Amino acid sequence: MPFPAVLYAAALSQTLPPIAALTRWGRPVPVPARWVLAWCGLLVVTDAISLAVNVAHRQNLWLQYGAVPLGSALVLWALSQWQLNEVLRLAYRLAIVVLVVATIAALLVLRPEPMFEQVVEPFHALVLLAASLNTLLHRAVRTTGSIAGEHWFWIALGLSLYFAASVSIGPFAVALLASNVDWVRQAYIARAWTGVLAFVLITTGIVCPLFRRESGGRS
Amino acid sequence: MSAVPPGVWWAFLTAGLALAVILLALGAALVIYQRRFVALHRRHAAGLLKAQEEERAWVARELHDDVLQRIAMALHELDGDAPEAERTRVAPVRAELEDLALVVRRVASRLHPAFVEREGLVPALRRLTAELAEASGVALTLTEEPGAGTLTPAPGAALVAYRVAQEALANLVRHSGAARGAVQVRGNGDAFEVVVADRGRGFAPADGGTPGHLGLISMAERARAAGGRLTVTSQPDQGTTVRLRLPYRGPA
Repeated sequence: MPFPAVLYAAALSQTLPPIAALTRWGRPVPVPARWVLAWCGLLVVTDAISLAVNVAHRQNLWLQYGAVPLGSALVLWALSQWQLNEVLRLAYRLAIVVLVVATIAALLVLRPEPMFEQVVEPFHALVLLAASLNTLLHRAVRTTGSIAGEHWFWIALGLSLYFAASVSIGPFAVALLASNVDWVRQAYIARAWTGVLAFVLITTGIVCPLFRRESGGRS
Repeated sequence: MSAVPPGVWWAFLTAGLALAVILLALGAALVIYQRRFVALHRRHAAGLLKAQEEERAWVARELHDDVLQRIAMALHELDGDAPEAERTRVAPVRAELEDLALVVRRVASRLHPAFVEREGLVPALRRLTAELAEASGVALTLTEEPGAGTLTPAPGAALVAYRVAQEALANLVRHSGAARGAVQVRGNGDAFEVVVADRGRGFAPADGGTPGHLGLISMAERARAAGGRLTVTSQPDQGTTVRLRLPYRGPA
């Protein structure tokens, strides 16, 4: 059965934010957003290597063992720089260490192959979903004026959507794998559409200041 | 009873792991932030105390070098070659000027007790207790352990000990209602102690509104900034003991 086109679109949508960054014509991207771009780059590279390994009929799950913690670290570091509260900023950065240690412990205790997708990836996604949502709400409450012109708003919204899909759809699909393959297919298609929308939102955040008359305020 | 689908257990495990990570990170962040805040507060307090001492020293120098010198010049003018009748007429002015000089000298030495560095801690404390006893009517005694008279803490530590004793004795005179008070000085190999005790009305240490409470905080900050420790023991109607322990090498 051929892969639905939306799955390819979802993979390609990960390149939108880096491409959008190039259209800023030399105007610097805010520092936290650069870490989000690094995360997008990691996703693209991981997918490309994963595809190449798969074409060579080799097992490619091992890529995720390193890419997932590294990606989480990049996102948490980016989100930490948007925190207005010193304690939260510290907590986000310390969470990187705790997350990595917890991942290693989980991999050692659980058999990696079936459990990584069912436990470790969703657990990372849950932490990142909480971090993204907290950033979105915490800053939105403290922002006077319109938040639609703030790059952090679009990026945090996109991240929240992406990780919400990872938390809910991934484990759901794995649980259904044995009973209804068609539902699994639908679940991954839904996840792909959500991913496309998420990266469009993140791209909006990357280009967002381009339409503002004057830049200002904290990033 | 239907079996719980395995997927539910993994969902619980996932949620549990995520919650554990979040709580651990938040807890660690709170602890680290609190430690940084306390360290910043202590540095700030030490800086304020240092600035306060420098300000006092400056005022004391101005009083000594300017005001006292002018009073001395005025007294010298009054001592000039005037006839006896003239001298008798200005005698009250002379007496007033001499009294003024004494007051200014006392204020200057209270602001910055240079004699602590010049004469040593124990003689300075002996002078302090004598002056306060005379001014207040409270019987104050100073006892020193054998060898304490030869204590030679660093000037910074000696000044801190003097200030703490000064504040503790001021509190004793103002708030304790005691007729007697005692100051003890003792030292061992690496630290020395100054203890001020009375059997007055005491106070409940947890009572933040007690008169003199801010003075206790200031004493504790001075002790901490000098690398020492201040202990205040008191209960209502059971008197008060203020114990300061300082290493010999005080702040620079």
